[in-house]
Amino acid sequence: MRTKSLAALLSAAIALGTVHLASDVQAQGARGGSAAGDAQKDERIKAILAQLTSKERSDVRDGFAAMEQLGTGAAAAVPTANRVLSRGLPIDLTTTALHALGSVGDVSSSQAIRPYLRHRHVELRREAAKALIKTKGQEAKDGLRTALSDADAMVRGIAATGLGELGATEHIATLFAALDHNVPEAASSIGQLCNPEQCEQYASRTGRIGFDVMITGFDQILFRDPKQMPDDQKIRIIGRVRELGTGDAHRFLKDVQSRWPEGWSERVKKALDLAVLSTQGAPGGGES
Amino acid sequence: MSAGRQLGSFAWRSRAWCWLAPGLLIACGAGQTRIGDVFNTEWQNDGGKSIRAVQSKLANQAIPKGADVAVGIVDKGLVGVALDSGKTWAFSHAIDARPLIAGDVVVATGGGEMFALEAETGRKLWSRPTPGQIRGAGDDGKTTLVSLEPSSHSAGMLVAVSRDGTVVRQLEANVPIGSPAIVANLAFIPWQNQYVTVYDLTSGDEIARAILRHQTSQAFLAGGSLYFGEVGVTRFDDRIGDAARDEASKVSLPVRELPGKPRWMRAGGVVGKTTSDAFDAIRAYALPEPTAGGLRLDGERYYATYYRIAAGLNDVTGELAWVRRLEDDAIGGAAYDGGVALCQRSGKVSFFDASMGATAGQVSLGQPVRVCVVQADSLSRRAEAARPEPLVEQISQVIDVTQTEMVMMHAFLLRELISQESPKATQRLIELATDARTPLELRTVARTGLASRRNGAEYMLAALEKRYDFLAGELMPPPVGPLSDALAEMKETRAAPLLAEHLNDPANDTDDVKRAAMALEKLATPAELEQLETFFALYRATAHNDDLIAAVVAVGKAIVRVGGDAGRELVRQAAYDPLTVPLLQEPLKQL
Repeated sequence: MRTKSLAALLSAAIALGTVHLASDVQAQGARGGSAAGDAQKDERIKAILAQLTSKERSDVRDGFAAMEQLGTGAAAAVPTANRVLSRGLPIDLTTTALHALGSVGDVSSSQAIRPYLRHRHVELRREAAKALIKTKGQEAKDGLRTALSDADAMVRGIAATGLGELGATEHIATLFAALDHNVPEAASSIGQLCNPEQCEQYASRTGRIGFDVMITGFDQILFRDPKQMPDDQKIRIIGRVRELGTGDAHRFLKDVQSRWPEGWSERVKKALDLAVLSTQGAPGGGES
Repeated sequence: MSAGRQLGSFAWRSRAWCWLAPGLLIACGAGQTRIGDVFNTEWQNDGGKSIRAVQSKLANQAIPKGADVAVGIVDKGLVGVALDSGKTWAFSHAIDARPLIAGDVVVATGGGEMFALEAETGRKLWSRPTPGQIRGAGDDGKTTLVSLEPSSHSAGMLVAVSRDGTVVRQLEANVPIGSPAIVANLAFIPWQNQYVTVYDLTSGDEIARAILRHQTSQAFLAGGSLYFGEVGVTRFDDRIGDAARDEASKVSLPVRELPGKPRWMRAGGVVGKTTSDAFDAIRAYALPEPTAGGLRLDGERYYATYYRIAAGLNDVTGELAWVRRLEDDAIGGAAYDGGVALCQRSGKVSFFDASMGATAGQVSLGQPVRVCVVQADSLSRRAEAARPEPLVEQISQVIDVTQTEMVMMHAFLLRELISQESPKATQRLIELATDARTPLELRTVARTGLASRRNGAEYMLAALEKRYDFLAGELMPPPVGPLSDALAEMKETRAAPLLAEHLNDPANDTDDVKRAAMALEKLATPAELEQLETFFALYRATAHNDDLIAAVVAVGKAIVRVGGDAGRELVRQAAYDPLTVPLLQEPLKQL
């Protein structure tokens, strides 16, 4: 439960604030070893932790900015950063914190970030959704699934994209619902996640949903690893697109043809070549 | 002493009409009198002596009841339907003014003539050339008195015509007069909005005058009595002599603000248009009923229409008793003994029982009409349903938010709904507040009303179960704020977890969030602590408006109340954290 998580973190932060800071630094020190680079990194982490727990707004900002710069190298500061975010920050600092935690990409941050998907400030919801894509984990997937129902189209779009990137196959039904509710970003994610049967369900929406949206999913399906997506399914998709017989279909097929990886299925390649040929000169194709 | 001399300034002067254009001649040779000084305002109030004398003379005079009929204007002329039998008739004729039903005749003008039809059947009784349009009529069963508008050819006039079409008297009127009535060959002519002159059509003399203390431009017969009125009515009975002291038998509609300000009667003596207007659609109806103490309204009701909506109201308090939605706009009607007949633009005439608005049948003119006039003087119809649905359900059914042109009436009905005790009213108010089609004005009224409800908790809790959900098509959050107010007042702790969820739902506006927070200040239990702390964390440093600031303070109070030492410490830390919104720091320190 996301709110439970935040509340737990928040209480812990209040009760154990400085104790955690010290232990984080010690832990990092223990991992750091004696190398000069590690010592320097320890110092940097120590400085970040001090900044994050400062009462000064500028210090906190600098601490998160430093984390963002360090990326995964700032992992040791993540527990403290998570707690600081969970206690609540002004909007500008929250944005900075979300960027920083996203940049570090530690899965433990998803719990601290998720409540911000419900913040009234829409920019924070968008940033939280983007950060969750980077911090990953089930918490992130579940949060993004909920965000598909957000009132803001951009939040929905980010969430849909994120679910694809995170491989959230368990939420593919919701992605279909999103697609049917005019969340175009869901198309590409469905293309990334669908099994052959679901891919067919997706393809059956051709004609109902704009072709410009549908091709984002087709593209993903066609370039899926051959181990994940059988050739027959890819050939069926090519056939569906070819049957449209439009200039747009031709252009799409030609584009896929041009990017078809060396050594990939010859059968699919052949189907592609034939489809490109048969759609040549299609209305609106702009070429003979 | 003649009546004219008695009344001082009265002077009825005969005048021949034969000089008028030949085609427009009415009749020469009949008794003809011109009203001139009769409208002289130097007349001295006779203390009701003359009118009392007339009343005394007519006390035993039976006044025949008129026909029960609806008459409409259509392209080809007039159509009519008998209200009891439903039998219809049609009469083709040019029509230049709204027809009038007087007694058992229908009188109209058009094509340069005036004519009378038998109201029940539409059979033509007589026609006469006329120089003007009809603006009033009365009938006593033998003689029809027609008031004609002044035209370029003539001054206004009153023409008395017998059943066989003979003009028995015609009077030229150089001043505006109201719509007359006639009883036993005595014409009762309202004028100057306060006088009623009694004119003897036999002798050609004005024999009495009454002065009334409320606006009076109509004289009419109803239920076997003679009445004068426009704003309220006065009965011509043994108290008529006291009219000048405003002590006659009088009844008015109660003072009650209704949508569109419907009026009972039009100003008399004005030519009615041949197409219906807003006055016809927004109209009040009532039937005066004599009582031992004076006068009241039949069935303890008066009725009001607002286009497609009809309502019955208490005759004394104005309290809404029932309300019905019609299939089409009501453009005419009449109250009858025990109910009201409403004629719709479609030509249908529907009957409603006075007490609860139960339907009492329907007849039809057979086609849409431009204008509809109704008389239901002796009608009696039984309600079809023994007991219709309760008022709260009637109101709920009638409010239809898709009819955006009815917002005024719907707002009125919403306020009535709010005044209903039944939990069903709560349910309907929630529906209206959450229906995306509800106009903002109505939604505001519904929300205000919901906040004041003290019943229907189950409906409220069910409403709070819903959330904004784009994918589920739930695009309108429930009225969280008003429900919070109501549930807090009802001390309904079952609402706490639901309100805590809504606290953190960005789809709710900040006013709703504030009210949810304030309710949770009272209702929250430790089970809601996590949600409260989440909210506190998200907004203690980002609250950007007064609502959110108030919400954070209220949530802070709730945390202190249910969160134990840890909760108090959480709030204390926030109060002294410089990152907390400055406006919040002091209030949080006070907790």
